[in-house]
Amino acid sequence: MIKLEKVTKVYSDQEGPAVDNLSMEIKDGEVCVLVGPSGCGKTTTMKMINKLEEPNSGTIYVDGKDISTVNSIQLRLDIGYVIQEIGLFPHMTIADNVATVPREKKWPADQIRHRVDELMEMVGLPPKIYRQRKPADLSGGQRQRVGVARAMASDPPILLMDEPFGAVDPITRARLQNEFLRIQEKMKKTIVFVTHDIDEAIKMGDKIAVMRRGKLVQYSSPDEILSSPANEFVSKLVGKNRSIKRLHLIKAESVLDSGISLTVKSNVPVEEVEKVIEASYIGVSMVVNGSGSLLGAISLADIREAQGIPTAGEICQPIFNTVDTGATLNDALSVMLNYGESFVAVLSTGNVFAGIITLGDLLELVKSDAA
Amino acid sequence: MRPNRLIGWYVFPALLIGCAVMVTVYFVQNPGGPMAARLLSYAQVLTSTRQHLILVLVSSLLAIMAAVPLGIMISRPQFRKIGIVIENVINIAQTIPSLAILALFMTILGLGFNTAIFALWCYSLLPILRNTFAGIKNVPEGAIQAAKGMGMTPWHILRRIELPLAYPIVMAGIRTAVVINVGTATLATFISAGGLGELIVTGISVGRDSLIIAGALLSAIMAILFDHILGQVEAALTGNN
Repeated sequence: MIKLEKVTKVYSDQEGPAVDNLSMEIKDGEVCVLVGPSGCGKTTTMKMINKLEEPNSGTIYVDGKDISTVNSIQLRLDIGYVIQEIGLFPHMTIADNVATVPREKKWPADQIRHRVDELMEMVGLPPKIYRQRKPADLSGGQRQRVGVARAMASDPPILLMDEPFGAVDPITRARLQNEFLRIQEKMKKTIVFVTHDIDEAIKMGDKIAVMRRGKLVQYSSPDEILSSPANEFVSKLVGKNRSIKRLHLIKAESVLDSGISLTVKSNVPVEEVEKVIEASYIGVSMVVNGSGSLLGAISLADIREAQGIPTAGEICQPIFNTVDTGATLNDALSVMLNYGESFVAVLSTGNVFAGIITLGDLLELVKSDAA
Repeated sequence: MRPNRLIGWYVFPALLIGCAVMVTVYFVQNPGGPMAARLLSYAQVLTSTRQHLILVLVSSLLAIMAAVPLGIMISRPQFRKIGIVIENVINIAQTIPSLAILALFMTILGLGFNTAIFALWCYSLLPILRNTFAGIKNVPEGAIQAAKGMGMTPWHILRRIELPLAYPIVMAGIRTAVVINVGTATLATFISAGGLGELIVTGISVGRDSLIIAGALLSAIMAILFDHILGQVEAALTGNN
């Protein structure tokens, strides 16, 4: 548990306190997102938790201990720390980057190697390929994954994340967020997450702390922030289209249509597919193999172009408008817009086809929410 | 990778040394007159070259030993302000012509080898110090913040993050210093510390081009050789050979 008690931080070269008499409590296993405009004190607040900044007054407790009495190196070694991708050490390999904290803690070499492989596997960077690469060889999204893996290296109970998914494109960001939420579901870390993006806050947070000019404006669950903003500042921050923002909170798996009527096995002949397409409300038929994995889709045009009497598997076209079951409806919406399709296919692990979400479904939800 | 290393470490230096030998043999065989012949013997060239090498090596090594730690020290946050002052003082000192520095120290320390070493040492300090300071200052703030936030000790941050990242810039400073040093060392002859400058200066005073050209070519080859070898060392240590 992290507890801040009347914490104030003043910078000598700044007018007014950066953090002003702030008190809050972050429960174990919870993701607390600090959100607000730049200069609102969110990063300073976070940096005081691992003593990168010292408060001028007030007390911070981590696991019941006043951190001003704890050695800062010891404290930091037990708190994972992620900052934007620039925080990777450019001269070290990915494996060395991830191994930073275990090395500082003087773990034996084979234990470090084992742990590094495990973490790289966890964040989806196969160690065989990426262990010896340098940060410059990786894409933005991969670098941020390394940052997360590095922070988790010694399995600290607390993670501090300063805009960890800041410098990537929106689609990659959504994917990283989903991956991270999936990891967090298992790990149950106590996380302090700083962002200026309210959408990210709504998606990632169990609790959201809205800050302004060093003060805590509202501290509550995402749902409450959306439904009952404390004041005008919060409702402006959240924006007008609150019901659309709710799409961040709803998981794809909870609204999808199983789409059984739209699905054909890859070995069925083409005439049967035609019937399915004619009855389909999305104008195509999904093709799956024996184990349920999605192979692609077939439209009437594909059938017209086909020679002879092929099976569905032979003429289906791969599709890219897909999301994971863990994705939010907002992710689904941005994928639809990105590919100009009116539906997405939802896939669970191993590409197994789980169902369909259409643009109509989303509109329906937003409408019922607004009413 | 392997053939590159072979060329870098052996073939190219051997070629340079070969050139130096050819230059020596050519000018000793064609001294251009009996007076120059007396001055341009194998023994004389060898002595001058050896003196020159020692001047450059000793002063450069001493300069590296002093300037790198000093540069690291003034880059520490608590010394940064003093660091900028020190850097500026040395910057101004560097504008004094090298010949004037030699003359200046001669009046204090007298003639000879030690004075020359000391003057050359002073002159090599700045490029190394400045680059060490700049190299460490240029380490991305994010990397240091991350290292600190993850609980690395200041000593580990210096050793594992700052120095490796600053290293290419520090090395560039050392290369510059050594190459300049090879040139400046030709002036050492004015305070009777020997070196290849002796050939050149004698050549000027007796009006024999062969002496001047031999001395100039040999010191130029030495400068290229040092620069190349330091480049090889740098590449070997950063691992992109």
